[in-house]
Amino acid sequence: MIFPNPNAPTSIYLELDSVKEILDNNPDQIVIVDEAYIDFADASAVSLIDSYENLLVIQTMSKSRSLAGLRVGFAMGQPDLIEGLVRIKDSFNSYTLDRLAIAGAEAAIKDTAYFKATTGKIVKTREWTITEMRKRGFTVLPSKANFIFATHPDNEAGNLYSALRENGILIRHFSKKPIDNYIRVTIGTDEQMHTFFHVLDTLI
Amino acid sequence: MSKFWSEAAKRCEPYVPGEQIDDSDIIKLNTNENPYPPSPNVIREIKEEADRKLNLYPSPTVDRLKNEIASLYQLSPSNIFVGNGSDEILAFAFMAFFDKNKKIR
Repeated sequence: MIFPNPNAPTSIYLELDSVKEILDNNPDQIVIVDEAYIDFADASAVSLIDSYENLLVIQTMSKSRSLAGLRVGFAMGQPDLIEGLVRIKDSFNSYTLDRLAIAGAEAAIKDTAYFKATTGKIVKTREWTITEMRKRGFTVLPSKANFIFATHPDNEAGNLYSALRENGILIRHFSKKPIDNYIRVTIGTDEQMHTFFHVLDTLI
Repeated sequence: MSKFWSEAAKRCEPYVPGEQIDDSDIIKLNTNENPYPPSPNVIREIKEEADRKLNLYPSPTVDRLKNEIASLYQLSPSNIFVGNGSDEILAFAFMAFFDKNKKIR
């Protein structure tokens, strides 16, 4: 079993008690939690690793560590699970991370002050963005990620996506039901979000 | 569709990532990237490493990075696997832990 927490694209965070329930109900099944966005949320399931042999937590440097261009992720679990991954990896490629990626990733993990400052800023901008969206009549799901998922009663999501695009703002819209009337907006800097709302106000 | 494709290649329905446009006038809020650059230490370390040993293979076990991650979460390095983005790790995990027809409760 595998699920993202916080979820994508809904941005909703599942509390650790609920994660525990899933682990308890599936003792013979691996449970993989994809925590790509966890640093913008609350507690990681990493604290449960000692208690659950069936838990694998996967995180990435692409979001909270600003290294999407470097390609570094990591998984955490009990040693038997890690060995399973190593077996598969070594059958394909001994060197999946290059020297530059390793050097950059190490430095990113070590610089906790910078990490705290930037994730803190994004969370603050997110909360402000949600308030501003709701003021404009959007329904916004309760986000614990670095993006929001929102829908408007009078403005079709696909149209909003196209109109924003024409004005130089790129957001995401999935045309698959049941999420086809939602837009997904990544949280940018305060300045970027101000521009976003400035343009949005000419469209809705 | 090519006659050279395997059954697996035919069956795939690839995820379409958000667009990557190299135009600095565009505000990119479509792929959940971080709007801030990485720590300046990251850039410095990458530059220094580039000046050092690119003629040599990297560590196949990536021990130093594993140690850093382990201490971040109070785990042991034997609890850590590192890979080329979480996408790759997810792909490995599917191969390592998932079998066809296994039921979930």
